[in-house]
Amino acid sequence: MAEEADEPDTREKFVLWSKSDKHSREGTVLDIDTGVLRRNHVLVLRSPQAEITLALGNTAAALMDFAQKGETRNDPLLAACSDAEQSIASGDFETTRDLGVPDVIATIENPALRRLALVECFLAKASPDDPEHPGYPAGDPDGRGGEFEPKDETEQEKERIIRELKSENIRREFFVASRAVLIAIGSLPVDAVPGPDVASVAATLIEIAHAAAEIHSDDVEMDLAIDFIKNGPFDLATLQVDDTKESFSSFDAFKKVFPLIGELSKRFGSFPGIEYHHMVEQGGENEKNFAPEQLHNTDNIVMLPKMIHQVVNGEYSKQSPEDPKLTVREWLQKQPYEKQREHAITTLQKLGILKK
Amino acid sequence: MSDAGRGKSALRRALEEGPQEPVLLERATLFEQLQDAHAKNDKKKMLEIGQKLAANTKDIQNIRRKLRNAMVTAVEEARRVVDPQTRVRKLLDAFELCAKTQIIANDHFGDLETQNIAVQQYGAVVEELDTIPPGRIVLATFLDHSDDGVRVIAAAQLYFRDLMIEKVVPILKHADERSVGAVGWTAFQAFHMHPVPAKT
Repeated sequence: MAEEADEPDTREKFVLWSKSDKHSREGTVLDIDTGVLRRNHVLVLRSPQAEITLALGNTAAALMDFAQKGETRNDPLLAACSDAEQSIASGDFETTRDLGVPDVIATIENPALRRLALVECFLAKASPDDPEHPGYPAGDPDGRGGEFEPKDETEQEKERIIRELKSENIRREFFVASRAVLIAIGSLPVDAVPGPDVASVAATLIEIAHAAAEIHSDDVEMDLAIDFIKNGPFDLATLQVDDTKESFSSFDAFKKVFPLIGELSKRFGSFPGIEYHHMVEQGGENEKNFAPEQLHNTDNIVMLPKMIHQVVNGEYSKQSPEDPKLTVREWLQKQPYEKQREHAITTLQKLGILKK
Repeated sequence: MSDAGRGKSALRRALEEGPQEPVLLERATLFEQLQDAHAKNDKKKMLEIGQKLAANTKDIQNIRRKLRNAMVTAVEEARRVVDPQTRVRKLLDAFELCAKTQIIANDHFGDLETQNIAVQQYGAVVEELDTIPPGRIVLATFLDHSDDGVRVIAAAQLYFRDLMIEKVVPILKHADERSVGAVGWTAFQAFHMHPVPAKT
């Protein structure tokens, strides 16, 4: 427990990061109104046997990253905490005191816990009554109690924060979904040990060289996809090949009129890995249930980077949680055209490709 | 994207965002080393790395196999229990395991096949629970579970039968709006593949 803290209120919350096993009690990270963990806060409980870290909300995820890796994600609050941490590390307590950080924080040896203590300290400063740094009150309907309230251009600031959080989430969503690439890569044989003869070594080397080329190609595709996500979300019209509704009797006929290369350089600059994606899918039941013109038209077909296209297809290949005997794709193909289209659009929105 | 970020391979950056599995990080390192050796046409090194990659592939396959076997065994064992009360308890344990495995398979490994087996296995558990009174409502025990995956997957299964709507809809809405990966997609699919009941 932080016996030397100057202010009783400040000392109270350090109980959470105490090394003592006696202090497994609730601290200020718990909402006093509801008794639950406040959104965007991190609760750490320690004992000699275990350390438990609990977090809720996107900002809490950012706090975890800051605590564990020191990453600030360009967040002003975390950047301020990082500055304070550096001041502590260099023994510059004058600066930390100016920032309102009590000296006792420097006694926390574990870097992750020390960073969390700093964040909590800065959040605590963001009280509703603080004239310099007004904060949202406890019980704020949006769960922002304790966070700094933007002082200037409040609405714009709020929009910026929401935009950044969404963008961060979408990037993570894409990264999680694209992990399959790492397993899929590699036509590498499971047993890559060549036999004793020269021919066997040469054959293995050729396979390994193929794998290297494939890895390089996938890395390039991934970079393109990351840039695409970074620049998104897009209007549907931007991803469509043409703004006039034209229908075709087959996908081949569509591609003859709209070869990808020209469109790509016009629309996105150099994007060699772009593919066409049917929002209401071609093939399967849809091929039987809908006329070709309903599937192969400029309204239904959009352009996506190859890797993003794989991720979208991956989502459609998952089993339906409601009916695990069917994949999402199979379930969708039993639905009316409009339902399929709506699902396709919301899927692209969830991946951060399409604007809501 | 920062220039510093550009220094790492895109695959590695994708791996370092979110849960980090040592075997996949090792794979990314081997991929980078292989590209380097390939660029230098260092055949000896390429063979060495090829062997390590093959071992790494086996490691990943073993992990996936263990995850699948654990689920299948848990569900089979639970189904074999004669006493209904004990069977429900065992089925709930199996459900929890399958839910956790789905998240690991999807978010940690990007392993679609194992994730699909997880969904099929917890689907089988729920089907079995529906035959034992009071039915799948017993999944309500997971609505306060500390693991997001277990909580949201249980909420979705209750939602599909319009059970405890007042409690499960907020759980699913929160996951749909805020969660990334399998948790978020489970909630998303629940809402988009099953209509919201009129009373909500």
